[in-house]
Amino acid sequence: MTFLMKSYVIIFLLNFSAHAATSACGKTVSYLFKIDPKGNSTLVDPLSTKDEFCDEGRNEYNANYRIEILDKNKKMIYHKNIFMNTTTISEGISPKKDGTFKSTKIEFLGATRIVKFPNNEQMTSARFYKVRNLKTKEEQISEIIWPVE
Amino acid sequence: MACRIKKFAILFFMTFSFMVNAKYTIAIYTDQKDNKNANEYVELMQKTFPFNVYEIDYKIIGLEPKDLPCRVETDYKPGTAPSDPKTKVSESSVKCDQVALIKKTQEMHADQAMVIKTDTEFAGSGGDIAMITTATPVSALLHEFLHVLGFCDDYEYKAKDADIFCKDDGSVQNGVNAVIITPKDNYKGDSDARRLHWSAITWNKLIENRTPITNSNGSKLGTGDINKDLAPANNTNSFTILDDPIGLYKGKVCNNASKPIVVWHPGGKVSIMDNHTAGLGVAYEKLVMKILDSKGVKRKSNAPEKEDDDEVILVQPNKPAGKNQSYYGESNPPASDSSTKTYDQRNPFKVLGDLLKDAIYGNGSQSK
Repeated sequence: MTFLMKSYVIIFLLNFSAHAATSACGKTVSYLFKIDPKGNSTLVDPLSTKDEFCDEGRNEYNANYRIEILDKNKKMIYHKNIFMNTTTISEGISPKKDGTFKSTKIEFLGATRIVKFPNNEQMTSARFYKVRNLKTKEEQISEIIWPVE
Repeated sequence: MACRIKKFAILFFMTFSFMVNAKYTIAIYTDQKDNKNANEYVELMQKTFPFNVYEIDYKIIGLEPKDLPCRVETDYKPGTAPSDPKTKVSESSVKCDQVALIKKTQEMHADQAMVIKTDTEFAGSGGDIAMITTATPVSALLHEFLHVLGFCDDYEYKAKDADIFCKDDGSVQNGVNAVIITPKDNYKGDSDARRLHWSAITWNKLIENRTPITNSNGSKLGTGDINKDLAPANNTNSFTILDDPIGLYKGKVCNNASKPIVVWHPGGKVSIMDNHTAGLGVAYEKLVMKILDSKGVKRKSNAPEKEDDDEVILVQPNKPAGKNQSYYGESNPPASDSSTKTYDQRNPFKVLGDLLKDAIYGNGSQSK
């Protein structure tokens, strides 16, 4: 075996084991994660694509929500911690070129963001999702509609 | 050996190209006919550090005004002629059907929505999406995007706004770049201040051991007040140089509240969260990088190397350090929660990189 062949085998095995170890790769499923003004959360509108996706954003800095994907026994099969700004900050801006802000209005109108998950064999057992507000510790469990790959 | 490493590296990247993620994509919706401001914004982002060292794609989506679900709202005194600035009751604000825009963004496989709405008013907003009007300089859209990423304002709120939005429970003015700490009248030195407040300072890993968080011989809290100098725009591929050290600087955002609360920030210069013509400053640059890294946004090859968070070790929250432990020294590591490991600890690329080094050099090699 040449050096290149050996290298390729090693890299392939490492690559494969990394995929298997993290279970964070697959095709892409994106959801809209919505928080209403009362703080209720939902994960809706799944959109499945054939794009390869390895989830490298499972512990976002300053995360305020934890989303867990659960199987039929409500056992966790996947999780990610995400940040979403739940306030809307409306600002009046000075027409002068001095760069200053004139007024501020902060509202809790609810918020929405896109959250991506890998769609692999393990994830097809998804039946529920749990959302935990990491600040208030409130949790909600709901049924999830997981798209078939 | 060099040749072998080169071949190995080429193979490594060829193989890994199959599992590399799509770029982080920002969709900018605008009803401006020539997309001028959207193009200006993309240029700004592509030259501004640290955004310029990340693999970020920008998609400009030009829409007819009727197809952009946004409007600019301004309240005027009842019975007065609309659009007369003298009769304005409140400043204008941009309002959009965010859910519709985010759904559209999802359908085009992008990650983040932004809006530039044609209007002569000067206004912007940030929350789940960032929005400005075409009259507003595009640097304000970057300010609004930083709100999306979790940054709070640094500028001084007017009394009427401060009374509403400065709450001492920290429900509003606590963000990645701001923390509310009520200082004591007197401290027994910097260690005393660190013992009391270190865990509350969310950016404490960025503060070097040699940077005090107190002044007046350790008796008063604060590395200093934010000075009047604007952080310069940084169009290089590295951190702003000649900035104040990252520390604990007294801000002004809530100075005008009838019950003032003290908000602290990591940087000593006026930042873009105070004045949209300013730069980010080194502290916010580092925080933005942490945020983008944690979202899985890929760094370009010209980006600065990742810093090891473990270089600065923290006191465990709410536990005074023991006799043989420093508050921020090596002997007192933070409590770790296996469910909230840092990204680096689990990064398969880093792990595999180390394994490959071992494969080439043997098991004795150590990664940085």
